[in-house]
Amino acid sequence: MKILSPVDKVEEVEKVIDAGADELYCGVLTSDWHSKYIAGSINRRPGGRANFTTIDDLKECISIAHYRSIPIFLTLNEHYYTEKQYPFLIDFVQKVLDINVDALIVADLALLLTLRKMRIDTKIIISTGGHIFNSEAVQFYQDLGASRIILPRHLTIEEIKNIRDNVEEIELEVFILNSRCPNIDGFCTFQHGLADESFELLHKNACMLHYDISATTDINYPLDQISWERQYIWEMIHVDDYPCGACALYEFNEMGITSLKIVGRGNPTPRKIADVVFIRTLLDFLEAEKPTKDQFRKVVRKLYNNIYKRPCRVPMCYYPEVLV
Amino acid sequence: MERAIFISNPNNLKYFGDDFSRLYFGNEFCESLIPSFTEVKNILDFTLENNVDFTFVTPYITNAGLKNLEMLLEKIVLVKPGSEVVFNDYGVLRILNKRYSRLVPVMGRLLNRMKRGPRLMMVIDKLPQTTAEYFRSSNLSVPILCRFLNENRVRRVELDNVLQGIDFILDDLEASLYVPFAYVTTTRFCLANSCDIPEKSEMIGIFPCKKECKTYTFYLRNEIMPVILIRKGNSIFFRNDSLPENMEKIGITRIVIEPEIPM
Repeated sequence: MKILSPVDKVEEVEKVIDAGADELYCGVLTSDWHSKYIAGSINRRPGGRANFTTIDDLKECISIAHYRSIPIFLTLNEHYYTEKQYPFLIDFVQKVLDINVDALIVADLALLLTLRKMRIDTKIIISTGGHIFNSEAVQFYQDLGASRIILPRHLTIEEIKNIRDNVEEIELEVFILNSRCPNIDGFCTFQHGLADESFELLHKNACMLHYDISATTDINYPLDQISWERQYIWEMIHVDDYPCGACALYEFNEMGITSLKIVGRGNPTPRKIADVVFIRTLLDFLEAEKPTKDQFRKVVRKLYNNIYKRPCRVPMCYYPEVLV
Repeated sequence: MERAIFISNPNNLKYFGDDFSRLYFGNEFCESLIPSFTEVKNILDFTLENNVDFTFVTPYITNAGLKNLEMLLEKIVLVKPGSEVVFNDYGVLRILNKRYSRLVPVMGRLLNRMKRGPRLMMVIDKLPQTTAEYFRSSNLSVPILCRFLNENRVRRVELDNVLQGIDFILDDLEASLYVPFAYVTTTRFCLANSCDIPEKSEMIGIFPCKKECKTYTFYLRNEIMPVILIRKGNSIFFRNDSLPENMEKIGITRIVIEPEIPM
């Protein structure tokens, strides 16, 4: 299995490769796009911190990565683009193809159809924004030229295995670390990043705001039975805490998952490195020691506790069926 | 303008009246809420007895759910060929085109990716014109997508009545508008699941449920949201009763009335 790490600064490319990343992904948000569309990003990250700001930066990043024989994928994964955005978009695609980006990550069916019409040779990866929950949906995108699918966060290990068992000749990628979004990425229509950090109510993800919550119920179920703590859980447990799915590496290895996605465009470089080292250590252990599932999970939990200084918790577990 | 009614609970046939010529039945958000075989049979009987058109509504779905769904599609195509099936999963569209040529696929509102988060209304007048236009438009403004849908037998798309307004023109497609409840987001980490069992407060994941969504409804208020968010089961909605003035220009030819949130 390959480790896919985010990068957003040229100087961190070699560092995450040295740490053990096999593939990289990134975004580019240029000033001409940003000034026109502000909160409507080109790649789901409206802020500058999570993106390269010029194609030249991306070009340099690609040179470094290719020198180390590491592919680099570009996010064009906004949930939708409108007809008016296409002249810019097509020009942008042409420019990034000219500098040999290795794959485009897309979520919008209209963009996918456009890329197909352009007959590009570059690999197409369907973002988790493509909301693919079954093997028929995988084949739908495969028919349109996709060579890899990023599965949603909202699938169990068993459901992932069922998809893997029912599709052929396509790579599957799963989430392994960070940002366990409470809602399904491809179906969430809350808009992120409507303001900078100075205006918290517009800046924070809507799922993490503090809400006054009330409820209604039918007469047989009094309201005092409601567990209110649960209803406030997403504001209490930050989405960008340290969610982890590493226990499932054992099953993912057995079922033939291609790539492990570490979320974190915008994270500081030391965090990116720590994340890659964590997963690389576990994959090396799995390969070298051939542990049982129980042995492996003990090692995973000990290493997670040591690196991230926190216990394993169900709300922060990508595949919580391993905990309960 | 065609008028349809959308229910997810057979008991809500009580809302049906002479002013509706089509009945929507099913669920868009949760495969645990796909109707039973008997429920679908009874609804089909109702549509035949009352001479109304039928639209079956389906959710995003795992491989396990697809098997159950296909049994219902078999029944529908047998009893009432020509019925519509709203798909909110491209896997379902693929199945409809492979095996159910006598059912009519309709693209569900979850697949129309327009932003619905209501706090957008707090800033939309301050955004650049190009950004505001973006939020009122959709990828359905892109002709290549409309052509693709047509090639896949899709002639109708479903739209939510978003607060910021809708401003794009469909190319050779018709649209339905859902009123008054618009969906904002959905999850499989359902907070209604076990919401009355305190020791399960932190059990956030994909776990079996008791369909607590049928019992509890939650209302979320925050000063930045111009409307109340309604969390019903695994999804969040808001209410918007105001119809857009430009329905004809957009291509809206059907209003889908939701007497209750269809969960």
